[in-house]
Amino acid sequence: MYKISRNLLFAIVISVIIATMALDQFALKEKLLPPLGYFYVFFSVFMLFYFVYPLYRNQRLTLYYWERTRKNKLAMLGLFFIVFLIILAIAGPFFTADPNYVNFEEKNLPPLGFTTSQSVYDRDTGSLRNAEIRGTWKHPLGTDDKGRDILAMIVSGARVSLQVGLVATFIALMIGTVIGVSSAYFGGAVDNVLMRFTDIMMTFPFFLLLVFIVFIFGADLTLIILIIGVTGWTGAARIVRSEALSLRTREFVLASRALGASDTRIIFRHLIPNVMGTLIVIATLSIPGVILAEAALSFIGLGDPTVASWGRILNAGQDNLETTWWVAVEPGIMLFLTVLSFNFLGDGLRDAFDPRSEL
Amino acid sequence: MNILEVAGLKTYFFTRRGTVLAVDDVSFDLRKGEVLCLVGESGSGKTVSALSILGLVDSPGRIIGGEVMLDGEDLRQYTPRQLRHIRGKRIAMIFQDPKESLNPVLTIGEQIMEPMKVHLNLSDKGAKEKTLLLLERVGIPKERLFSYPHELSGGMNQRVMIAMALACDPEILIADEPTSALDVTTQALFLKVLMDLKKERGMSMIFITHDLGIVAEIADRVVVLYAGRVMEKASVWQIFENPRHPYTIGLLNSLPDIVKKKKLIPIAGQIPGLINPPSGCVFHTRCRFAQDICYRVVPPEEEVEDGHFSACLFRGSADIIKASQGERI
Amino acid sequence: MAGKKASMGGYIARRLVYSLLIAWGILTITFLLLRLGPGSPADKYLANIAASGRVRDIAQVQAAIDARYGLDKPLYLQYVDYISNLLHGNLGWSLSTSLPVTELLSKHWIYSFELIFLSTVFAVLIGVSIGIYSAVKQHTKADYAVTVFSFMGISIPNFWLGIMLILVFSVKLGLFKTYYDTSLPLFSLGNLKAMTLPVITLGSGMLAGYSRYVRSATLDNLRKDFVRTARAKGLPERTVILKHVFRNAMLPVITIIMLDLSGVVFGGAYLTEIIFGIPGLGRISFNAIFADDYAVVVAVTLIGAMVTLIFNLLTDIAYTFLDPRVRYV
Repeated sequence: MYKISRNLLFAIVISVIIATMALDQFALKEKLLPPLGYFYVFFSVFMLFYFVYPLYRNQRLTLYYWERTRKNKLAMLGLFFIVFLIILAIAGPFFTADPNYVNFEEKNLPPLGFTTSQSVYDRDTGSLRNAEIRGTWKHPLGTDDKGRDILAMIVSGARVSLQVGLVATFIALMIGTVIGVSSAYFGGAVDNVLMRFTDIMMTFPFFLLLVFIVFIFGADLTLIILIIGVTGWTGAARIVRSEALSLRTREFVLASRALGASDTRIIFRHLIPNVMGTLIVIATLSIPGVILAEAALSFIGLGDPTVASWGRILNAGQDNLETTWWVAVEPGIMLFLTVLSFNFLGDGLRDAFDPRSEL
Repeated sequence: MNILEVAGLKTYFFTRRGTVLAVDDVSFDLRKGEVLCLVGESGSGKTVSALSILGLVDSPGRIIGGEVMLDGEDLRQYTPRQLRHIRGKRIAMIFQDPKESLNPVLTIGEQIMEPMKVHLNLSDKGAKEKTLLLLERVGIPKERLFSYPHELSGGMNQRVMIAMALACDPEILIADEPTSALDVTTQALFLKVLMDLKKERGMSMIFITHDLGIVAEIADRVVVLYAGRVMEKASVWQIFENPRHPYTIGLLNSLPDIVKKKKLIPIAGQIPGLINPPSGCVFHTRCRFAQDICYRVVPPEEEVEDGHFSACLFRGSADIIKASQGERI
Repeated sequence: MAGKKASMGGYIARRLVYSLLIAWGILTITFLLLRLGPGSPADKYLANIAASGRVRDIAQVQAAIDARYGLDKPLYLQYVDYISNLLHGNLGWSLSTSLPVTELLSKHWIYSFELIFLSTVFAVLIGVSIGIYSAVKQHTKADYAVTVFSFMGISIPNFWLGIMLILVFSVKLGLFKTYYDTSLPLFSLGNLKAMTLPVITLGSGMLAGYSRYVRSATLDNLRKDFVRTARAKGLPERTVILKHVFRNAMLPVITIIMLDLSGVVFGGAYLTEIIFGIPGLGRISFNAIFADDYAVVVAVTLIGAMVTLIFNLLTDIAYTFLDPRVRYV
């Protein structure tokens, strides 16, 4: 019975959120939250109801998977870095400078511990002279050619990357699950239409499609997140479908059908919880791809020009490799470590959930 | 005359949870031309013993002791290369599940010809001729040469396995539960083909099974294994008429007897874990005759009558003799 | 055999029809996206003209353009035009280069092809070999090293890797030019040298992926029973791995490599071309984006999808030859 009441409660909470958002967007003059903000509220509530709570309820199972994941050292390393990144993204901006603050007095500063030789304008003589420039504590990761603090940009980029990674993956997975489960459960014509559509979407090279859509619809962070989510669900749909198909014929589903359970009950009670493990793994392994996609878009100049994304810093750094190599190196390292961490964690989780599969 | 002698064989599996004593001090002989049956429940070490003979134990398993003497030469001293020339040529082996044991992407013809090309240096033509003869002999139509395993039935695939094993006329054939994946009617046909070929070619055979019906039908001598150790070794008559080990007696009692409609007596308990096997006699945990001493002493194999060995401390006791005679036949 | 061939023909025909359906879906989705987007392809062009001040009556120009491109027609007629144009091989006119898009593509595709071809050869050769090697040496230091390196290879953003390679090998060490010299003939020695860094940039991620897939597919198959059979036949380990295991392991890997092509490789090539200034399709699409040259961006996206479609079709057909178990449904 708890299931029904939980769904009901969830529906009520969501209606309240939607009502608030509608009021906010259309009736109030002063906006309470931007649209993306509402999405985060929705996202958190959803996770609380359908992820955190079930984990808490099934403590023994959670502990079992945790123990199995914990044995994988690389996965733990990845988890550690991801937690660090989340803290950095949430708390970091309060401690760093404004990433958009331009100061030509302090341009092209190398990172702490490095020195470069640059020609600088000498105020006394009014001419250019060569000088040794040292990294400073004020800008531990150096500055770019406009004197912006790279640490600040990287911290703000972490926020962008995580936002994109989490939200876009969430959207993609929701769509993928709905399509996959309905395809598997209803079969026949529904399955046929949905899977043909999936095939068509899969035939588009992911990044080319992304470039194409962003080119048409414009580069705004919220939009980019939506676009990645709406185009990136195909893999999840396929996997969920095949998983659900194999579950459909399993005894416990047959048994509950024999007992007269309704379709919705079987879907929510049996299919969804059983593909949950798979979904967590797909999510963890999709996030790096999504983060990379956004970074690549920003890198080629199709990103949101108002946010300091890692890809955008990289793009700027690429032009001045001879002089300010660190501008290109530092965001790349962060990007690399982030992707690596999610891959490590995802791999560990997959082993924990399904020791048979190796891929 | 013994063609193969296995002495003191120990094959352990070194897993993360601990060392599994899969085969622990197993000895038996195979005489020329006879059928020796290795009998036991699953996990008793039958298959691992057979694989150890050919050095086919996969990691994390390792043979850590014992001798495998083929015609007076110890196969354990052989280099991998030398051993390879024994496999398929002098000792061939067929496995449990024919469908899984054949390569799905190669035709059965290719798979039968392979050992001939490797061991006998036959040309394509020669190998093909010989393969056709073999196929005919095991009762598979010629045109099946180009079929893939999934296009044949389980029984046919198992006969393909025989053809493949006999490709180089081996002296010894090891058959690892070849019938357990087949249904009963196919089993009978398969066994007939197998035994006919064995007689025809004067092969010796090690036949692994848990089916005592098959043992009664084909065996000359029997080795009863339990938890990686030998419980009893004897001729097939001695085993069925005068079993002298509580485990063998238990096995026989758990057989249905249609004629006498006797009550089935299953052996109580389960086969023990082999990471920490029971002390003393491994069977004591399930033995209804067990005494204190069975917990402490590993019973040696001793001869109770001519060629009949039992590894039970009470092999001669009145209780066991009564059990072996009284409750059976 | 005859029956098999006939059904195979039917299967291929069905796959062809199915591919046409997918192609239609791709064109339709592209069309819808174009029309759903804010602004029309002519908007930017008009804005430029207006800014130049040469034309007084913008509305008149707009009407002329709309008529020229059929933008004044109802949506479904525009759709019919769009499809029929594409079917006639007419991909439109590139505004920024004043060339027909087909001409632009035919001039530039070869650069993309060279990059992808060389990278694929590089990645498959090395990836497959180290994948097999690390599977055979499972749990050794070499295997762990391969695993860790392939993780890193998969995770390293290839556009960043490209920049780092330029930074180290071109800027700091001066081994390669920092720009792409189009005067060198393709596949000539100088050209191949210039392709070194781009191929590493694009190929290393692919290589890491392939080695992982191959490793796990090989491991899966190494556990199969038919491998034991092959060893029991006395085949040399080389033959066991390269013939029996490899053939089975490659089947799933081929599918994954094909999936990677559209998922990873095309995107990677796009970025690699931009970084290294290789004038392939990615580069011209990139230039077109910033010149608001719709026709080129659309054309490159369509080409990517169509090439993927053709490769998927070829994989399906190749499968019927490689895997005898494929059922023609």
